[in-house]
Formats: sequence, C-alpha cells, structure tokens
Amino acid sequence: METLKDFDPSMLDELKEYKDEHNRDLRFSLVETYITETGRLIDALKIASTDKTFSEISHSLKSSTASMGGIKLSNLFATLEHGTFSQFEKAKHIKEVEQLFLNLQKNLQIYLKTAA
Amino acid sequence: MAKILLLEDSETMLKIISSVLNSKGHQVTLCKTPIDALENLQREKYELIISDLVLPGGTSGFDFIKTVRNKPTFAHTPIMVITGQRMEKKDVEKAIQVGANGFIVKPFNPDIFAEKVAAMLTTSLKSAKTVDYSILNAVGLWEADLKIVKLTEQGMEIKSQLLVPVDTKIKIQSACFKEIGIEAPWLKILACKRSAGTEGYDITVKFVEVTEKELNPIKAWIKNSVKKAS
Repeated sequence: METLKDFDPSMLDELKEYKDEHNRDLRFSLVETYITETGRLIDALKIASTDKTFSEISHSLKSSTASMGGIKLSNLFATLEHGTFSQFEKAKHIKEVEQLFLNLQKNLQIYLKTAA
Repeated sequence: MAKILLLEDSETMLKIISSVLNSKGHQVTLCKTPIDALENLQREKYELIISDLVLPGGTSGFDFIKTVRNKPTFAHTPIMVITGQRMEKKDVEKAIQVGANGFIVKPFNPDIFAEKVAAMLTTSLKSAKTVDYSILNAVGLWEADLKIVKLTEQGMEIKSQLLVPVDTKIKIQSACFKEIGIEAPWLKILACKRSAGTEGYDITVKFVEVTEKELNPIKAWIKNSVKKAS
C-alpha cells in the first residue's frame, strides 16, 4: 500500500503570485498565521469537552492544513472530524497530531527558505 | 468590483480567500461567526456571500443560509458554499434546498476560485435560483463555428455565424490559446454587427479578468508573430 506523503508544496506554489495586506509574498505571512492558529487550535483540541467541539476544531484544521500542503496531517484531522473516540484514543491521536505538526513546521520553514 | 461577505472561522483560510478576492479588486468583509455575518448583512448590501458549511458554536452553514434566505433583503444575493473534501451528495442537496447557488471544495486552486466568483457575480438570481454544480464537475458547452481574424493585447476580432448580444461574457476554445500557452480567457462582446457582403457577423471582443501572468504570453506571442510576418 502506498504511504501518504507528509508534505506537498504545490498548493503553496499556486499562491506565489498573491500578496498579503502589506503587499508582501502571501506565503510568508500565511505560514506564520497558520502556525500560530494551529498551535492554538491543537491546545483547544486537547481540552475539547464534547465530541462536537472536537469534530468542529478538526474540520477547521483539516482544510487549513491541506492548503499548507500537510497531506498526512490533514488526513488525520479528517479522521478525527468524522470519528468517535475514547479519551485514550483521543490522547493517542493528539500525540500523533503534535508530531506531524512539528514535521510540517520544519517542511514549511525549508520551503520558505527556498522561496525567498 | 464587488462587495463580498466572507464567513469562515479559520484565520488561515480567511487570509487565503481574502487575498485572492482583494487581488481581483473586490472589497471583502471578513466574518468569523454567523452572528457577525448577519450584523454586517443588516448594515450593508453585498453582491455575494461566501460561507463555510461547518461553523463554530453549534451553528451550521445550512442554518446561516436559511436565515439569510428568509430575509427579503438578501433573498436574491448569490451564496457560494466552501466546504471540505468529504462533502456528501446529501449535503449538496441540502445546501441547494436551503438556498446555496454554488460550491467550491477546499483546498482549491486560487485562480479557479477567482473564476468561479466572477461567474457567480455575473449570474442574475432575479428570475430563478441557479446552482453551480462544480462539485459534480458538470460542464456545459455551446458549439458554434467562428473564426478569429485578429488578436490584439486588448481582445480579438471574430467572424461568427451567430449573433451574440453586446456585453455577453463568453469563452472560446481555440488552438490559438494552446499555442500561446494560456487557458481560454473570458471575453466580453463589445460590438456585433452583420458582415458587409457576406453572411454572419463581425464581433469585437475584449479580454476580461486577464491577469498579468496571462497577458504576458499574449504580448510575447503577438510580438513573435509580427516578427515572423515582417
């Protein structure tokens, strides 16, 4: 079975012509926004008191992560959005989320260095 | 261009979508909650509403669309739904039922998204509800024989067997665009008159919503063609 790639920069490549509100390459401020927002939402995921909140946060993270090229992490968020998990399973998945998010941050930093 | 209300809870997605829309000259109001969106709708008139289908705080995009459609002031404002990849057919049907007019699935190509927004803005909702079946990938084509007789940086001169009303927006499939290396651009009919002495019509069209990225290959192609001819 083919394993999923961790990172696919093609979605970010498609944004290279676009500028942010300060007329700078959108990708730089976008990665910054994504990393800050995702860190905050992963913390919220850890303390989500209901399955509905857990699913809503996962949904939000799924799309933004896919737009950053984080294929594997986005797929994990899709699984979390649609599934029902015990507290033990949730904790296990969140640990995996944190590891994949760390990898994605590294990939994004490397990507931005080459884009600069 | 147009005033657009955007309802999306993800800051990352808000940034992507608003940057794409701003680059096309649209004025975008960003809302992170349905309450914020409804307050803005009461204050100002918008030409397009773009909303996520899954929203925070226990409200769904369906509820938001239903609320908007129940208010006579917004009854005809087009609504585009942006949603995740696992959207099911029943969700599409439900969104149509409550009043959505178009869809786009995240993550999306920014240029395709901008084209869809442009297409929705030109759609009049006054006569009937229309639905953009992008998620089903349905494409409609109207075939007509025509000849491109002149290409400029602004547009083209065309000979057609069909009369096309002035101000209509069309796309033409032609090997010419493949040769230039661009997708068929949107064209606006500036003039359409009977050809002198022959059957058919002489049509003048101009490029619309053509980006600098698309215009450069057109300019280069014209320059090369002029060189070859001289």
